[in-house]
Amino acid sequence: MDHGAENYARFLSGDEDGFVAIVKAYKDGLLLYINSYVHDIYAAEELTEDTFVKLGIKKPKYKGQAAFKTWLYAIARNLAIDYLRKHAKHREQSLEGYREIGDERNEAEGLYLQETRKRLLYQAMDQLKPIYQQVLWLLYFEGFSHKEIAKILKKSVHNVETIAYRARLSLRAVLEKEGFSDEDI
Amino acid sequence: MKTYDEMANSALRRIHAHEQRRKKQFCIGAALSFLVVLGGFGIWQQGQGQKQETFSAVKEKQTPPAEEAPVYEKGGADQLGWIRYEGKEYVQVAGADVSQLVIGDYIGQASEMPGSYEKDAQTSLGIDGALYQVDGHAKWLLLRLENGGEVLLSASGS
Repeated sequence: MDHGAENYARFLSGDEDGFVAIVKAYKDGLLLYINSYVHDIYAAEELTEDTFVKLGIKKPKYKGQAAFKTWLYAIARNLAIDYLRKHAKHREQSLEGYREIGDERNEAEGLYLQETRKRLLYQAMDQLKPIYQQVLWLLYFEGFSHKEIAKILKKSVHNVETIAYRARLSLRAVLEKEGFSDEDI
Repeated sequence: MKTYDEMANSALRRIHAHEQRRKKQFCIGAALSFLVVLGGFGIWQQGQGQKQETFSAVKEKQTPPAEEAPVYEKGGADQLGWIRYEGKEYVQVAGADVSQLVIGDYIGQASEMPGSYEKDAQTSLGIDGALYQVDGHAKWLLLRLENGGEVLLSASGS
């Protein structure tokens, strides 16, 4: 049992510290994952909280080691997609707002991506298509398998493998453009 | 940006608020369901009561009370004659003026019909007569008694 599942079991048995531990373990990863959809760090923060609230309200049954984290990311994705649908027509923001959001985002990245190499990789991913960003994030930063990513994104495993292959090619091109050598990549 | 604890506390507050709301909604739902069931039961009972009343009324109509059938004691001072003819009861109309009536077809002898003129009946008036229909009045019969008297009989309830 991973720590998330263990803490979730504690929360289900009435121990709220288990819930706090879940938030501590998954908050940053979820925040950056959701941000790859909504590209708004404040909205991503709200949606991250919504994901935890949904976990606390629905209380799904735990079915195995990977299931808990997969479920959490699948919920986060659904919430992000709902948010994009609702806000599709109201996404204009001021330049100042963008600067502030940029600062907050750097803070979030700094907290979660402490290795410089990872940060550079994440920033390079920002130039990719959203679907490439999402697959690479789940693959490289969250350690999900292709099968688990397929579950989260509601796609076939083959489809995920194809997207991951293309995403890697695109990322390589971006990194080369940024001046990284083959060895760095 | 919220810290871990801030986000955890905020999420827990929202979860508790949701649970409170759900409990409240459940209580309201249960109370409403109870009222609906109670109302339904009341309506059903009212329907049953009306059914019983209708049934009793029909029953009462179908079986007229015993006192409707006139029973007269032989020789009583206030005796009124009556006859049952073709399932209807015809009762004497006291003090009726029969001189203007047009006599119709002869029906039969009163002593042969059930009623107060029936021969050998306990309540028999001890007198016979010929029974006629009355032209223009389907609910009336005229009885011409042996002693020369005439009696008008009217269908009861008319």
